[in-house]
Amino acid sequence: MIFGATGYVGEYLVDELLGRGHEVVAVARSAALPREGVRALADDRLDTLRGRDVVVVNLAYPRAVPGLEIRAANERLLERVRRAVEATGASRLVHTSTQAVFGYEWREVPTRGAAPLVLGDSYIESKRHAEDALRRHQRRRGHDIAIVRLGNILGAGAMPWVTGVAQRILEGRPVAARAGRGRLNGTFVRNIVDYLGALIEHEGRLADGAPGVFHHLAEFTQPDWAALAEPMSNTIGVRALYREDVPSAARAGLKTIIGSAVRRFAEPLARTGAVTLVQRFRPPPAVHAFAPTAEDPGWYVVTAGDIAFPPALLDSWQPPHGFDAMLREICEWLPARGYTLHADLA
Amino acid sequence: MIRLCIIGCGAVVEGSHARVLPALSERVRVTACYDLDVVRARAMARRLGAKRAGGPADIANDVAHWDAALVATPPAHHAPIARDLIAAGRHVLVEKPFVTAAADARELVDAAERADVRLLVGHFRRFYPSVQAARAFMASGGMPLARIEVWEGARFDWPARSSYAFTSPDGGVGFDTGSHALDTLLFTLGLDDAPEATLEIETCEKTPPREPSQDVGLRGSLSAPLLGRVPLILHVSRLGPLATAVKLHGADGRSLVVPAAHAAGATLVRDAVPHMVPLPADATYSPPDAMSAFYCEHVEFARAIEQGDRSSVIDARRFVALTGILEAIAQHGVPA
Repeated sequence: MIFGATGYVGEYLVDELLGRGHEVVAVARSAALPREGVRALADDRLDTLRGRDVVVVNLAYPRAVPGLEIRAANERLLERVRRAVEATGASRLVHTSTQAVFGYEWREVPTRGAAPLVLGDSYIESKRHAEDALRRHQRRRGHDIAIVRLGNILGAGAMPWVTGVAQRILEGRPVAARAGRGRLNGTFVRNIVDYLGALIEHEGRLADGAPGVFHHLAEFTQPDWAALAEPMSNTIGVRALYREDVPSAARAGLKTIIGSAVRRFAEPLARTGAVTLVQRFRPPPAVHAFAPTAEDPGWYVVTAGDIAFPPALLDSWQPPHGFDAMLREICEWLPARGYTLHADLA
Repeated sequence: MIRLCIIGCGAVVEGSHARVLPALSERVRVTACYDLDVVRARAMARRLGAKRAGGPADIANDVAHWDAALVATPPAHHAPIARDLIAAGRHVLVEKPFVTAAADARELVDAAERADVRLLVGHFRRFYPSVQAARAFMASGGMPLARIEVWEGARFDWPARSSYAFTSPDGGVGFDTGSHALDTLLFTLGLDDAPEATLEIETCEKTPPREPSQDVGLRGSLSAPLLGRVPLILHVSRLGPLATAVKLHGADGRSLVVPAAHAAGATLVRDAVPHMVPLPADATYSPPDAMSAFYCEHVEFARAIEQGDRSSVIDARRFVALTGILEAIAQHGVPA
């Protein structure tokens, strides 16, 4: 039973599990999920699965929700997951989380246990809240659980770490910190769903074995961002750019006014919440080599991280797909989606 | 002080217009909010300090309480609502897409001129530094064009208060995303005030085949006086990620990339090396982010009303050609 079956990882997982011969049920608010081979069930019909051998997989996360509302939306989602576990009598819950529960900028190696509290970002806080809430539920009810913290998700169409890199290359915006720095800490979506499949089929309690409740999956920690960007750049036909300096996370949360080029203001400066408004500046004349701006510093903080996300995986599992195979798939995907400089319809 | 009413209090008002209007409070005061859902209208009125709130039936009765209107309903209602407002002598800022038929676009532009009211359309991306930069580059000689690509796509997961995106023939990705992307193209090429600009469609695939379609891929050519006829491909989608940019390929081998998202400049690619095309020195607006571009829209609306000016880059007369092109795409494949 999958929450989030129509998401990016969800669609791959559905294919993986159908391929393994499992019956796949997608939980949806309405029962109208048009996907062959997949049954959709509304939340109030889940008890019809009672007595079956059910594993609940939660890939879902509140999307398109303003930061201040994420916690409430997250709690509503978690309540649906908890009810699904109880209504179906599920023996196991597999929940996908993220390495970002340790923050975007790591000062020490992430641990295998409960993540330390990292405040100041609604996404990070909500992901940690989900881990804590589902762990508390599991302790009360006693079902098996695996919380899989995923590295940066990579694959054809993966947002943002593939589409964002491709778009930056096409626009001439810096992809990452200077080439040679910044670990990818990535995981290929096909390896993710293979691992989730292994967890679903695992004999014995996951929570009591190795590596325990928390699993860390980022099989591509060693390559840097250039290892991803350069093959993509060759396909796209635009040279990838890198920035030399990396802003700290302390500045990552600030909205910045356009920096040293401001000359005078066309309108009085005003603030509406975190919105910065109109001003006039004189940009340098003529076309020149692209200068990195202070935009989206969070992107650069993540892509500059040089601490490897330590693996915590089932001993018996090996990723079936290597880095080169992933790159080939990504680069084959780019042209038909318009990311190459000269692209055409598929 | 301009008294403004808001008609349609859905997601774009909640997330964008309502965030920037308070910053203009010395020039614009929201005095009324209307929505099919009166509870939503009242909530927006409370948020913006408006004294009046109601449903569609209240608009005509309340017209004396406001001078101008922001129309942010689903696109199918833009033309009839704007028509009535213009007839009542009110200035109108219509959310994009302007209207869905070129005949309505021409009629409303003419009506606004006769009534001496301002009619503007909320194509805020025109204020992006990157879009202004691209337009200035092409206007300064730019480069002779060999080919045009228009791409923009993402999986639809943004909030919409009504289901029109999936139920209304005017709610498809063509009128929605396509209006943004094609407007960027026409504005960059300086064709926005050339009503003769047309799109000749050779092939067009839509998913689903009937509107509202969620994915449109077409091959054709863009024609206009001085431009000539340039081959064009367009792909806009709500089903999955696509590159998000207008790409202009010059006959000299250079390419100009105009991102869909807010950016500080456009990008000129020469021999695979990207170079930034910055905002012109005489630019009036330089919004540092997308939200600020919404603010620019309202500044322009206020200025146009205060000065009785039709020269705004978002004056409705600049969107007649775009409307015709969008209508042609929507009608493609529809039996006569």
